[in-house]
Amino acid sequence: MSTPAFDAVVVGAGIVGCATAYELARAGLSVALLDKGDIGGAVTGGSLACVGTHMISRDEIPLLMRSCQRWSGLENELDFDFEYNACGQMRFVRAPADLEVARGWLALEAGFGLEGALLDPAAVRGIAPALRGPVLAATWSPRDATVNPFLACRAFVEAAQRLGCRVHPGTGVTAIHTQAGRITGVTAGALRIATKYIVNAAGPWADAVARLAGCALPIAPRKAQCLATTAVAPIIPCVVGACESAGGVEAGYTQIQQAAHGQILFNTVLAGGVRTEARPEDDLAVDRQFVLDSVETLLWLFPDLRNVTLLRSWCAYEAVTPDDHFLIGPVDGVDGLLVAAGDGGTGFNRAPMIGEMIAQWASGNRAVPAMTPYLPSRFGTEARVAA
Amino acid sequence: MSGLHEVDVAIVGAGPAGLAAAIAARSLGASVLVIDEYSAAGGQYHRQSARPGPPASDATQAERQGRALASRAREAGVAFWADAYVWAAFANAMLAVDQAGMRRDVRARSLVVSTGAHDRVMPFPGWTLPGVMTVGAAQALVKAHAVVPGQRIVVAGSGPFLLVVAEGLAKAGAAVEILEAARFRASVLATFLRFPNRWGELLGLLRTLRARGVGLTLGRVVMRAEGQDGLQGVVSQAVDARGTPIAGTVLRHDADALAIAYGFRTQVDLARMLGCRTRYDDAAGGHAVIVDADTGRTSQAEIYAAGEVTGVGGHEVAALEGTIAGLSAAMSLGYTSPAALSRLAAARRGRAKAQRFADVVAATFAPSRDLALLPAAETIVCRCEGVTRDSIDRAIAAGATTASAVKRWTRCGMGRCQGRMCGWGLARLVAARTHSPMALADNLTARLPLKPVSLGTIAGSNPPLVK
Ligand SMILES: Cc1cc2nc3c(=O)[nH]c(=O)nc-3n(C[C@H](O)[C@H](O)[C@H](O)COP(=O)(O)OP(=O)(O)OC[C@H]3O[C@@H](n4cnc5c(N)ncnc54)[C@H](O)[C@@H]3O)c2cc1C
Repeated sequence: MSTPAFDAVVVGAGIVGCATAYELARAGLSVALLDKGDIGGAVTGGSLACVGTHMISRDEIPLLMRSCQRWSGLENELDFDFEYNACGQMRFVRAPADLEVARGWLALEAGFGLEGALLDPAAVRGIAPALRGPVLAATWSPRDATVNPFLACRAFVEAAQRLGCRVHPGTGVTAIHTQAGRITGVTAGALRIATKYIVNAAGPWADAVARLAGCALPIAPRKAQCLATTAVAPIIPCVVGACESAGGVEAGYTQIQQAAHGQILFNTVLAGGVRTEARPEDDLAVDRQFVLDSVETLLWLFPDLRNVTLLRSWCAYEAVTPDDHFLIGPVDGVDGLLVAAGDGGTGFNRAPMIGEMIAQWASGNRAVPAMTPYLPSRFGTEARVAA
Repeated sequence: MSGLHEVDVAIVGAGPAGLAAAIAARSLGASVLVIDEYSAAGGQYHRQSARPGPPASDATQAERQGRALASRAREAGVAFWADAYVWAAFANAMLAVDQAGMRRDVRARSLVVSTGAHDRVMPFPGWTLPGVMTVGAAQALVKAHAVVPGQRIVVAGSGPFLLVVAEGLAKAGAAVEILEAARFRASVLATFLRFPNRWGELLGLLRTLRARGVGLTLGRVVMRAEGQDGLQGVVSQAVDARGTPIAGTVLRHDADALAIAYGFRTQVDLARMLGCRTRYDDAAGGHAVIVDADTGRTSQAEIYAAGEVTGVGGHEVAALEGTIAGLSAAMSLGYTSPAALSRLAAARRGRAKAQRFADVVAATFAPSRDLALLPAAETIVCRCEGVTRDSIDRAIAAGATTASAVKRWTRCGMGRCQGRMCGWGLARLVAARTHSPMALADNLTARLPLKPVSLGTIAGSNPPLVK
C-alpha cells in the first residue's frame, strides 16, 4: 500500500485547526486535517464563540480588529450560515473600583478608532430591558459579534474539503516521523501520511503532540465550564460580561448570551475558581459551586429568568501559555513543525488570522511580521527539546 | 430551603432493583432513602396506578407485586421521596434533588443507582403522528392516568415488555394486536424449556392475551404509520431472521394507536456522571455500568448499581441485583445480621441463574442492523429540534462520524429531551452509515441536569411551585 502524501498535515480540528486547514488549502497546498475525536469536539464545541475586540487583550487590538473584520465576511466567503450576529457586547460594572477599569479600556480601544461607550443603568436597560439587576454601569462595544461554534467549524471544514482537504475525524496522531531534523510524516493509528509540514493545533494536547517530535511546549490545560437553559423568547439581546478590576481569567469572569435558537448560555467563574490539575480527558464533571455561582449571577442580573429551566452543562479544556498569548509559528529544532495553540480562552477571536499566518509561512514567506509576537521561540529552550 | 439530608444508603430509582435494595439495606439496620421521579414506587415494570386506594380488580400481576414490595419497604422504615428526581450528582455522593420545584440536597454514605431503562425508539415514516407512542408511554397512560390511548391498538417493536403492556391495554378494553419483530428459532425455544420457573409467568401472560383476543405475530416490523391528523393505520412487513424485510409481505392494519419500542435503553446518565465505568452491549440496552456481580459495586467507591443500568435483564435479575447491592452497601457501612451472608449467597446463586435466562432473552430480541433503514430521507429523527434523516446524512458526509458530532452540526438531540428519545436511533444511523460499531457511534454524554430544572429551584430560595 502506498503512503498518501500531503504538503501539510494539520493535527487537531478545533476552530484553529479548521481555519488553518482552510487557509492552507486556499493557498494551494494539499492538506489533511486529523482529529483524535469529533471535528470541533473539544473546547471549540463548548465555546460561547464571541468574536470581538472589547476587553480581551491590551496589546493585540490591531490583530483582533482584523480578525473581526474577517469574521464579518466569512459567511459569504465560506458560503455557510453559521449564525454570525453582530449583537454587541456589554460588560457590567458591579463595584465602584471597576468604573476606572472600564473607562481605561474604553479609552484604550478608542485610541484604535473603536466605537464604545460607558452606559448608565438607564442606558443599559435601553439596550437590554430585562437586565434589571443593580449594576452601577456597563461598557458597550457595539461591533462585537457571536457565531455558532459548531457551524463555524463546519463551515471551514466543508470549504476546506471543497478545496481538496482530506478530513479524518476519530484519527489521533500517534507518531511523528523526522529525518535529519526534518518532518517526513505522521502516523495516526492505521493511517500513515507523508508530509513536510505538520501544524500542531491540538489545543491543550499541543504539548503531548509536540513531544511525539521530541519537543516540549509551555502549554497547560485549564478547565472551562458552561450552562445552557431551554430555549426561551428573545430576552438577552447582546453578550453580557463582567468588568473585573483585577482583569484576566484568574480574577474570574462572567459571560452570558442567548443563542439563535433561544437557549441562554451562561457561566460565572469567581476569582480563583478555575484551577485544576486534571488532564483534559480525566475530569469532565461540572462543579457544584460553579453551577450555584453561575445561576446566582444570572438571576442577579436578570431576575425574570427564575422560572426558566436549566437544560444542559458542559466542561472543556482551554490551552494556557505562561504569558496568555498563543504560540504561532515554527518550533525550533524540528524543521517543518509548526504550532498554532494556546488559545487562553479566546481562540475564536483569533482563529482566522492564525490560519492566514500559518498559510503565509507554509507558502514560503519565512518572515511573517504578524507572527513575531507569537513565535514559540520567545520562551527560549522551554519550547525546544523535551526532557 | 431544607438543608442537607444525610442518610446511610440513598437509592435512586424505585423499580424492582431499587425496592429490593432498599428492603435489603434496611433489614440490616441502615437508614435508607429511596428517590423516584414517579409519584408511586414500582418503576416501569411494576408501574402503579395513580388512583389511590387498593389495586383495582383488573390490576396486572406486575402491578400487584409492586404494591406489595413498596408497602414492605415502607413498613420496614424506608424513607421514600416521590415526585423527586436527582438532577445532578457531585463529588462525594452529593445528590441535588428537585422535588416538585424544591431543591433538596442529599449526602449518602453509600449510593445505589437503580435508574432502570427507557424505551428504545427507531424513527420511521409517520412516527410523529398523534396516536403513535412508545410502549412505556402507552403503559403510563393506562396505569397512571387511566386513559386508554385508542380502541384498536397495535403494540409493536420487540421484547417481552410488549406482552406485559398489551395485557394492560387489553384489560382496559382496547382491541390489541402485537407485532413482534423477532423470529424465534427452535434453539431459543429449547433454551427456554430449560427454565421451567419462567414458564408460569409466560403461559399466564399468553393465556390472558388469548382470552382477550390479542393476536401475536412474530417476525413483523412496522414500516410506516399512516393518517392525516392522527393515526389511522399501520403498515407492516415480514422480516427474515436477520431483520431484513421480505418482498411481497406488506400488510396494512387499521389502528388508532400504535405503541412501539425496540426493547430498552439503559439509563446510565447518573452512574456515568458519578464516574462509574461502563461497557457497551447493544443487545442489553447499550451502555451498561460495570459491576462486581458478587456485590454490585461499581468502579467508584461506595457506589453500587443494580437492575437494568447494569445491562437490561428483566425484573427478576433486577430484584436479585437489588438485594445483593442493598446488602453489600449496608454491610460495607458496618451493618450486618446473622443471616446476612447466607441471604447474600442465595441472592448471588439466584442472580446467576436468572442472568442466564436474561442472556437468552437479550440475544433473542437483539435489534437488527436493518432498523437503521426505517427512516426515510424526510423523516424527522429528532422531534424536539425537527431534524430530518436527510440533514443527518449530510452532516455525516461532511465528517460527523459519531452521534455527538452529528448533534453539534444538526441539533439532533439538543432539545428538551436531550436525546433520550432520538439518541439511540441517531446512533444506529451513524453506525450504519460509517460502518462503525454502536460502541463508538453511541457517544452522547450525560451532563447535569439529568432533566431540566428551574433556575429558581437551583438558586433555592423560591417557594415550591407546582410543575
Ligand atoms: C464556555 C466557553 C466559552 C468560551 N467563549 C469564548 C468566546 O466567547 N470567544 C472566544 O474567542 N473563545 C471562547 N472560548 C474559547 C474557545 O472555545 C477556544 O479558545 C478555541 O475553541 C480553541 O480552539 P483550538 O482549535 O485551539 O482548540 P481545541 O478545540 O481544543 O482543538 C484541539 C483539537 O486537537 C485534537 N487533538 C488533540 N490531540 C490530538 C492528536 N494526538 N491527534 C489528533 N488530534 C488531536 C483534539 O481532539 C481537539 O479537537 C470559550 C470556551 C469555553 C469552554
